[in-house]
Amino acid sequence: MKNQITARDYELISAYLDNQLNEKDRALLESRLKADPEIRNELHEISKTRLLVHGLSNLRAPRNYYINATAVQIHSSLRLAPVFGIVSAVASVLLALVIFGGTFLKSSSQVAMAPALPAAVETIAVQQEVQRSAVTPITPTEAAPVVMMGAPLIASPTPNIGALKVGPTENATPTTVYLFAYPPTSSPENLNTLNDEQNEILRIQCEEYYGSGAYPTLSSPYDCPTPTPTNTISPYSLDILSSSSPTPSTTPTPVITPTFTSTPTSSPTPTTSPTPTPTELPPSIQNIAPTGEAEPPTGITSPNQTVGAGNPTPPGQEKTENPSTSPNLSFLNYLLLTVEISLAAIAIIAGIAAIILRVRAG
Amino acid sequence: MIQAAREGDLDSFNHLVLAYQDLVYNHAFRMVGEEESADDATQNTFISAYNHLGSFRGGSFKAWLLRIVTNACYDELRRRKRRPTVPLEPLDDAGEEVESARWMVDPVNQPEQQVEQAELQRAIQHCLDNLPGDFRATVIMVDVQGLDYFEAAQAIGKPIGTIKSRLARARLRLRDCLNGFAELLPVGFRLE
Repeated sequence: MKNQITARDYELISAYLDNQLNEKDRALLESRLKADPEIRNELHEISKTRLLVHGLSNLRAPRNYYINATAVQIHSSLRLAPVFGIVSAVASVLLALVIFGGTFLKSSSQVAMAPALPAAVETIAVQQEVQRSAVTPITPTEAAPVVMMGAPLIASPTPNIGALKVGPTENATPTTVYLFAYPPTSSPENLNTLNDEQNEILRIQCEEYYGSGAYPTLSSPYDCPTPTPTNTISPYSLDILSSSSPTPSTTPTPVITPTFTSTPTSSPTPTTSPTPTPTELPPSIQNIAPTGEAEPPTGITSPNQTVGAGNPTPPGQEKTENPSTSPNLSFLNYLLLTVEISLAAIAIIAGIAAIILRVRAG
Repeated sequence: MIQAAREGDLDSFNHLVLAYQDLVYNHAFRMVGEEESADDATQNTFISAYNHLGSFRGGSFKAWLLRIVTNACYDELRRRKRRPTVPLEPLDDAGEEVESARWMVDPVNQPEQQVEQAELQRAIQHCLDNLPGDFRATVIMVDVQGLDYFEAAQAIGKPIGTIKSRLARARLRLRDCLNGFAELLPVGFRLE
């Protein structure tokens, strides 16, 4: 029978005891109270409970709770404790970010300056190779069939390659490949001057070679290209000047000067680029200069050194760059240090203030 | 007097403090069940009331104060839950706590009737303490402080329907709790 009394019935009973029912609900509940002893018993027990709670003695305040201005000020300052805590937390987070960012910045700047040494070494190697090639004379009688890679010549009119008849059928001596590689287009001016000197050397050698008549099978005189100084030099370009010596006793001139420079993203492979496709070359040329068989670079520069070489910069210019970047870095370091100290001070002071206020608040 | 206090007159506000401090303290004590916590809650209530007098929009100042002290008691109960204290209760011979607080009463200095009345009060307070906070505040406001449903709804910030529901459920739980203290109840109040 007791389970017939719902929560809604208890609400009606409670409100009935407090005289909070409207006439309709009151009449409905009173009719049920007359008919149902269970709900009448519940009403009786709830009424006694209500009276017991109502009989709790009214306590008097143990003291007067007057307030004064000091108490109000203290209470107001206590309300600042969460604010100080938040400020301390935010300052700590910012401090961590600044420290991390500063560390990252320093490491990244060190990585950016790292290629300076290989670039200098590489430039020195280029100069040495140029001097060596300038000193070593190429006599027409001793000159072997030569495949020269010259940057400026690729832009010049294509020589009469079809007239070249060099190959095993003519008992040609082993082919010598001249590989002149130049720095990227962003090379500085003194390096372009160096290129001009190389071009001049090549032009003189070319004229001397063809003027000597050492290559009689040429159907038409070869036009040695006039070196055109340009700032847009392809890093790797190929010019093929081949000739076969009429006398097998001629030894190849050991003037192989493969010097490689590369952009930071390119690997210093000994293959020439752009490489003439086989369809563009006569078979004899293909036999002479098979791509990819050029001797690997020897000497000062090694492939490992040139891989990381970003911007080949002459030593003189690089020395002028470091002093210009150092003040910026040092200023940035001072700025970071100042910010870190400030944030640390804010975090510590705000944290201590929050702790003190919390302790005072109990 | 309320208007003068709202304009910053501290003396006028202190007159209000004198008028309502018993009500506030009594409510705080019934809510938290401890004198020290009730004292702190009462002090904080009046300071908070003074600082927020501008937010009082008229109506029942008593209900407004009871709302502040109820919130202060909720804060006190939460603080107590974070830092629970060891109850000051004795251990029996087996080393377990004696649940009844009868040991605290000195029976020599008090007549038997007063002792029984004190035990009944503690039993009721014990049952109040076992109620959820919302139920406890509602039943204290209506059954102890004598507020009507409208004032209680104002003080708690809930609609009257919620007050009715909470009150009915709180009384039902109190009834069940007090059945466990039948020997302490007066003969006419013993529940069946």
